Amino acid sequence: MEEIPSDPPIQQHSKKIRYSSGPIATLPPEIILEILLRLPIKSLLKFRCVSKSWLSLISSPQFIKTHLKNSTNDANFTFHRIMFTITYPRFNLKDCSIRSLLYEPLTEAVTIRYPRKHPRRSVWVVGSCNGLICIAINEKNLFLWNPSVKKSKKLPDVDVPMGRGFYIVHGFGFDETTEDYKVVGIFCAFGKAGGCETMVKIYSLKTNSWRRIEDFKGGVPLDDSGMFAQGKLHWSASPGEGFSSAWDIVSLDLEREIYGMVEQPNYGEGNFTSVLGVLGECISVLCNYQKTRADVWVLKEYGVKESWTKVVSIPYIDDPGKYMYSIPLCILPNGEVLLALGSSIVVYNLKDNSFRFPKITNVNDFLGAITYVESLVSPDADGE
Amino acid sequence: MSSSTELTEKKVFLLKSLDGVIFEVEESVAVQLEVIRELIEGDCARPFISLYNVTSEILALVIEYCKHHAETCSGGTSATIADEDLKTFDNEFMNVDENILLELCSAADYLDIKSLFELTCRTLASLIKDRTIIEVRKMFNVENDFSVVEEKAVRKEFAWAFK
Repeated sequence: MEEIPSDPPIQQHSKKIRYSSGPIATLPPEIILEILLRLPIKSLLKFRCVSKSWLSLISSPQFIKTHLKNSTNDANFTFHRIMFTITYPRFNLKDCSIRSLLYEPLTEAVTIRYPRKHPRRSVWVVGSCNGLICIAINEKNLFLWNPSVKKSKKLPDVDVPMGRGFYIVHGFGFDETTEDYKVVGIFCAFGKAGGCETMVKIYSLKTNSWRRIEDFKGGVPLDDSGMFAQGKLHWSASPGEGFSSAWDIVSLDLEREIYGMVEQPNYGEGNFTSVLGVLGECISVLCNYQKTRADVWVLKEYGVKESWTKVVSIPYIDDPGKYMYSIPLCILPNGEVLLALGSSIVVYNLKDNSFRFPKITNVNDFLGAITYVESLVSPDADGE
Repeated sequence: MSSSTELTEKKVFLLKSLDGVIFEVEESVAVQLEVIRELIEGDCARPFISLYNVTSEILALVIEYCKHHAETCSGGTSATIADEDLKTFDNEFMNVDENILLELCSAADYLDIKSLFELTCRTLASLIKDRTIIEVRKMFNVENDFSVVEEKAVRKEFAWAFK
């Protein structure tokens, strides 16, 4: 790489630019790979047709995994979207890109087709993980679905006798050790004696079957889907017999299938209601002090109670107390916090304590909003 | 650049392009090229370094990029302003002919300049994302080895992606 010049003609910062007249540089495969890893899903699905080697590259598990990792770790949420659950006047799902919400003057939400879509069939988004979304149609028909590639898979029915007074709480996550997607169904029934009995079943995508595991341990799960973080699903659960406003965080390890408890911090004084959620890769709790503010707590280091941190406190402005902030959908490097307030999307800037309200059309009234990353991950165990 | 530093002698490197043009660059610029930084750290950097895979046209651009980044980062401006400044510079810098972009990407890889490699890859990705299959084949010099029937079958699976 080095040589000693006899008399080098020094040219500072090249005033005299030479134009290459040769053929276009052909990029080596490893650089082409790097470019493909930065493409959106739709382009990748199209470019499968470029050649046989491009097809096998784009379909390979390694590529899918790396692309997912890149997209997930993009600090600006370039490849993340928000999915809105709409129940009124008809059941529906719509989505839009986070990037557009943040940077475009106007964003149009897209009405999407999902499995078994019907205006009168209820649709419930259980959760999202690696670009896959688990939805429940009419509460008990479950689907794994990748909206970015428009593919879905129906889960086999689970044979639990559904009597009166039953309710089901689900959860969806990924077991990294076995690289398997799992869905958990907690079937709860109030017995004659007044207590609550549960039966818990777990579905594995690899085996495409349900299996019963140990009954729910740690009280009565509240009626919300499990939150997936750190290889575990988490439910808020009422510790006593009746429902009180205080709840515990009960976890289920998807690999070892054992229950645990996540200790909560001392949230401080005052009357508040709280909800459990996930922010990025961390378990999060939002404490809502009606009409005044909402505090967002994040468990920065899993299993370490002292690592609970209040990451942001968002004031309510001119609010009659009708709506409550959601757990933030994302927090950006520039200090912007994207979250829902009732049926609006709000961007709060924690650096200068300012608000802005991104304009979004085709969504008036939504019940819930979740984020998901665009990915090539197939909802079928054996690839596509 | 302050006058006090100009008094002390700055370490300078001479970079020679594939076509024999020699560029004089300061150390703060040269170390942005990971290949050169490694040479310096390994104490085997001579003041004269030949870069066989980069033409003078591209090397001039690479040096312009590294110089701007080195100056912005060492300047006294706040991180946010420096960030904004780099963003504006990067955007303008990427406003070049497609072939230049491909060569810049390849040079960034060869010279191991991570930020420039990321920038060019991202720019190329957004440039090609809406292109047709035929355009992409041409751009990357890829031969279509599908039979008509095969290609049709692959295309059919995600037909919506072509709309």
